[in-house]
Amino acid sequence: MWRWFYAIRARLHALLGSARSDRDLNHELSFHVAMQKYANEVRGMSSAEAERRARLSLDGVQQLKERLHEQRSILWFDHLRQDVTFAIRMIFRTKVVSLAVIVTFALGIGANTAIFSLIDSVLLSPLPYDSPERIVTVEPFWTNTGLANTVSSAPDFRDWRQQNHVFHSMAFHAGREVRVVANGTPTFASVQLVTPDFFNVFGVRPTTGRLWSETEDRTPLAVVSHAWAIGQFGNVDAAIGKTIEAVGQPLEIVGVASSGFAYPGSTDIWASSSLIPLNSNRNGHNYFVVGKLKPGISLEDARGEMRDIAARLEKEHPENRFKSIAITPMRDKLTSGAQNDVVAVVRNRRRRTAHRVCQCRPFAVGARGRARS
Amino acid sequence: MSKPPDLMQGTLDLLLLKIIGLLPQHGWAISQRLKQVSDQELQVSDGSLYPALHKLELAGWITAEWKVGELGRRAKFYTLTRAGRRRLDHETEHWRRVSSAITRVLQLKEV
Repeated sequence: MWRWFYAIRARLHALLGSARSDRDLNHELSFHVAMQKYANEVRGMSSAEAERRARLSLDGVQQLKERLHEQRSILWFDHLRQDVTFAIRMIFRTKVVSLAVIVTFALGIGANTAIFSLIDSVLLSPLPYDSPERIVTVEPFWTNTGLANTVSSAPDFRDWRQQNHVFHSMAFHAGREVRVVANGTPTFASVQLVTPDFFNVFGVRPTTGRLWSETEDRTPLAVVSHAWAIGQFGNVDAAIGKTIEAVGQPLEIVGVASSGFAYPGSTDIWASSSLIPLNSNRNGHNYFVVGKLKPGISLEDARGEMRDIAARLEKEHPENRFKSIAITPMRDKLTSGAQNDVVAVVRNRRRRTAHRVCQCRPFAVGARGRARS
Repeated sequence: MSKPPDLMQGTLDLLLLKIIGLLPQHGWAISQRLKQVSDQELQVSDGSLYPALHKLELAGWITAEWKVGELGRRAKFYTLTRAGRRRLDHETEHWRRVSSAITRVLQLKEV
């Protein structure tokens, strides 16, 4: 293989260092002429005659230079053809190695593309929601350990929502992939139980049909995503009025969310959280809380008031000892989720801390969901 | 025959590899050595020597290095690469087989 090293070096030299290789050629030929002239002089020729004969021995120095130039360009194409042929032959001769190399490149390029698509969709494009800068996550935070949790307890949520003056709307969601029967066919779908304000937080309007109101919170109604409605029923209007079975009960579809909305992650169905009994234990942290700040309320204002509420709850409930509240702009949350994903891809290592797992999961899912859409 | 026959195609390459293999040297020295050892039988004009050397260099059989030569001037010295050495062995073997085959044919006598 060293032959190729020398060959390629010489060819690159001839190709790229054209000026230098011309100078080298001049040096080489003039050295030859000088040596031949010297030899001729030793044989007794006059200086002029010796030089003339020396030049003649090369069939004319200028002509030789031109021949060498010409040969170089012909050889260049010739070598290119040979090299390509050789490369193709080697690929087929060492099939396994070649395949491994090709697959490695494919995976490398694929991984890069995936990471950049993720970064592009999560970090660079704005969130596709109404006033996205006012959307935040609200999470419990323990002052003694410095750790936060992404999920809150139902009683805490109720108190936070009722006692604050800084939020335009506050809601929680909790859910997962469950068995859903639609059109008589069981499938898996991502179902989220949400409080009525959930859609207000994101400013979601129905494409068709309606959203359920606070007074209907205990009625088994569902709003489905645009994509899921089309996938199941062919078009969005056909979904309205259909009854599906999810989370163990029949739900009537009253609305289809605006196209592209699937928060969190790639949710198919949103149903009222009041349909299932909530965990009334203040230590039962199960619910992801999101909120939209009132216009003109700064993050600092919101944090101040929520800290006060948390302090009050701490006094009233022993279980709430050290429990404060963390408010994070959703944008930062999604971004940090994406960063974690990217880091996870690059390091290919599992995250260790249980709390961290909690913290990253839903948002990483959200980030992936957005990247996919 | 007034003029010795031209070198067979490819034979010049073999001779150059052989000469460079014995001792790394510059173009003029190679040309002198060629004339000397072949007793002027093989007419290799210096004008065809350089294109042949450059072809071998671009193929990777030989490599070149600039060093100070005679008369205190910079000269391009050619050295055999390892691949060139293998090529030389291979070509030499090939030459032996072909030339002995030709000799055998030419030795045939009429019966």
